[in-house]
Amino acid sequence: MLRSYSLKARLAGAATLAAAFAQPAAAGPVLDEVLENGAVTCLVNSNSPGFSTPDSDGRYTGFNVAFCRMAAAAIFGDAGKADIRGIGFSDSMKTIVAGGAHMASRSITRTGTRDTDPGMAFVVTTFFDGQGFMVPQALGVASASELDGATVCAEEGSTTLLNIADWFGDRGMSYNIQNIADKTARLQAFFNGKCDVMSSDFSALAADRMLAPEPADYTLLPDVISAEPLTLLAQPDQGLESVLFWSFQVMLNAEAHGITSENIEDIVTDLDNQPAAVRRMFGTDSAMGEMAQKLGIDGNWAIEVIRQVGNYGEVFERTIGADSPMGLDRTATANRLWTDGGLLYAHPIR
Amino acid sequence: MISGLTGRGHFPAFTDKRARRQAVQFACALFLALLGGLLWFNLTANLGAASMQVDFGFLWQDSGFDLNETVIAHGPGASYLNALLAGFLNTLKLTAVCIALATFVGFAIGFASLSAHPILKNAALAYVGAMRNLPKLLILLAVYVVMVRELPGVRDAWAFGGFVFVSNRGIEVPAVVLAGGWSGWAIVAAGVIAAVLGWRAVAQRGHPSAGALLAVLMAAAAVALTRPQLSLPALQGFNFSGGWTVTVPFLALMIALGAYHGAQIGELVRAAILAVPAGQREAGSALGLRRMAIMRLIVVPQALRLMVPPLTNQYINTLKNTSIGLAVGYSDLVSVMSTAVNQTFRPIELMIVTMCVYLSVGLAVSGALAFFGSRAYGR
Repeated sequence: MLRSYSLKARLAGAATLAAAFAQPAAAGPVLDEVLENGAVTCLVNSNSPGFSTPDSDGRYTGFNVAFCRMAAAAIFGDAGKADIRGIGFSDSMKTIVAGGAHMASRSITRTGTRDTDPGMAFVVTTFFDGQGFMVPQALGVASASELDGATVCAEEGSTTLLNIADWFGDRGMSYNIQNIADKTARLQAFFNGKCDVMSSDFSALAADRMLAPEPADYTLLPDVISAEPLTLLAQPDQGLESVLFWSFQVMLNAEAHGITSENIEDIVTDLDNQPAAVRRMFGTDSAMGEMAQKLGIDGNWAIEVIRQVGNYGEVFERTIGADSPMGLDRTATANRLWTDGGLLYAHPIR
Repeated sequence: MISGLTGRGHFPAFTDKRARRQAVQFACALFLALLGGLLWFNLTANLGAASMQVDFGFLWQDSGFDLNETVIAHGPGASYLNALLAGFLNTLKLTAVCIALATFVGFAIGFASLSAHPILKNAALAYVGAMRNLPKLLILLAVYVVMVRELPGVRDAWAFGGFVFVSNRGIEVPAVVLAGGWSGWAIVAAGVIAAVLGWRAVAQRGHPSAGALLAVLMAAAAVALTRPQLSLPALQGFNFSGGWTVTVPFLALMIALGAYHGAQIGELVRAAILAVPAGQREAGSALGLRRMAIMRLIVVPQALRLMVPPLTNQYINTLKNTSIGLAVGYSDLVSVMSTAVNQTFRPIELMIVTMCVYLSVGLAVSGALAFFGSRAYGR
């Protein structure tokens, strides 16, 4: 550990030196391309309530969309400079590999085989999800272990089908899979009883339930059959990955210090009286400023991310939280700061 | 004549028709080969730059996913190759049924649109107009959603005599189950053929009763070997078990593609019949033949010959269009390919395999129909 640390330290030293001579150091060819392009191209689900839905003007809003805006706010100081495009699940990864988009914020599960694909890089998990089951109340099923022989509707193309196969296979239970690619067809099949049960990530099931004629007629079973770390995806690029990772850490750290889009102005004007960690985050000659110089972006990026997008908790509550139409109870998920017992671990900004 | 002479003397390659044709053929083949080579080079070079390579080894790995309503068994422990094969057989099954249905609908619509009866004629033309102008995916989704919504749930299935059930999962009918599954059916088929041949051979020698006895013995042997049992559908737990099921996705695809291609085939049947010269019909009536006889003996045989090329096209289109099945959860080749791409992230290899499969089936269908055309009409 010591050796790798010292190596890292030496590398960091070298990088600082290099930065001192060559002003805006070459952060990464993709980040340079984004800067030249004037907008970051970001792929989202074309219609996933709470996570990304277009409004009547075609402008996307939602939880996943917030991270596209986060990237734009960090890189350009303007959250509006995100070129957000709705796309299907499997096409999104192909598009990243083919270089057709810079990043995807699209509820993609980080898996080992996907991660080792050289054409794409998973950056940071924005939502810890798990696969579950939704059943009609009328079916009278309380646990997924009672589903022997059931017909399961699921979405074509993800780890969903593999998890179902593993889960039923491990328990020696039989089932009939209905792998329906078209969302309307799938939801109609489930709401009309063609399938006994629908399986997907909890967040997706909660979103789908909102589309039922009578949402209260359906219930999510407590069984969690898989881990689904839904992760930001980017073209492999040191610069772009750093921007995404550390902007996200700013959103976590801001929440930990109670800094929101509402009070950020007051914090910045009164920066000298803030804790050291906050000063390092928002001061222009601070850690974030130093990082910005290496990346070739504006030194105020942390301020812009919080001002234009908000901290993690704000984004969660605004888009999918208990008071939003999605009604996800954040405390019932792992998507809380680790200090509150969740899995979100705010990395040190220094 | 002079140019012909000098040509033959000095530039045989440019004036000899056959040599010239061969030269053009060769040039085209060379061009295509170069183009293919360039594409392949470009592909491998670009993949190499991204440190990827074309490798079909994954086809033998475990697929990890299940498929429903397959002809051959497929589970998570079976290979990707097995999954693709199962998907391919589903594509063939659906294509065969759709082609049969579309041909039937097509001929009915074609004849109806030429009918002297105005209601029948206009109904047929309206049908063609509607089907031709709607996207087939939309037709499929409409049929599927209507079936799923309007048919009863599995617990309230419509029962017909206690052994046929209709629900929004499918139509359940009694089935004959043979020992040994597919091999059982092969024994039955062999038994039927042997019985027919044996009966004919013996009966032709003037012993019809002995022939009948032989056929009965053959049938008894087949029954003894395969031990057929009747399996009745019954509601058990979440689903019907037993019997034989035609699922809703299959029915919806069959109806949508049968209706869509039926309209297309209807138009080409109509065109082919109209293309038979009026003189032929007039000659028939001059001979005193009835309208139906003129159709059956004179017009339809000539129209069939005109129909073969566009019909081939329609059949191949039907094959390709079964790929919309993935929208409603039918596990056809493209659906399996799409799932496999998501698991393996090998789109290029899987697309190459899928394209080769479609191409070979398409070529086989057009080859078969061309053979049929040349055999039947001596072309």
